[in-house]
Amino acid sequence: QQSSQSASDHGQILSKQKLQELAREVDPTLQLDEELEELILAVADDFIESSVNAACHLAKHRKSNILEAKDLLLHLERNYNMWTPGYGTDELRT
Amino acid sequence: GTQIRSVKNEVFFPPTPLQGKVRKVLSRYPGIEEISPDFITLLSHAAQERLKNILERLSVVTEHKMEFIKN
Repeated sequence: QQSSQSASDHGQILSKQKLQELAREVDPTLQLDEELEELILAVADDFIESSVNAACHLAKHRKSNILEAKDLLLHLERNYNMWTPGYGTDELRT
Repeated sequence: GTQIRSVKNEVFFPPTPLQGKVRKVLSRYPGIEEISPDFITLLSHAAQERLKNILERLSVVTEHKMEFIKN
């Protein structure tokens, strides 16, 4: 049985403890109250769901039955201006 | 294969719940059956980056608020 601190108990994919760790890393003085924690976790959940949806559309467009990192990468670059090196392409970008 | 990452590729989001979430979305797309392992790792990195971005903005807002209270 999982503890009450576990992420999956609340249908969340990330525990509040991990979120607090990340918050401390960004700004050690930043304090998140419970309501804000819930809100940020919901935003993360939405981000994941919409990104996977968009990647699925792109994989379908490629007529592939495999969801690949390059599908997600394209969505992230186009919509969030996010580029993660080492993913999606067979060759390194120089 | 060629080594393209010089640092350990650690994921922030626990992989099992994240994979469960991806599978749930995937069930709406009957043609797609497999998920590449890189997909989950990239998704975790991207979601972490998104959270960091939100927290950074919150930090700036809080700082401004504190300045306002002080003055």
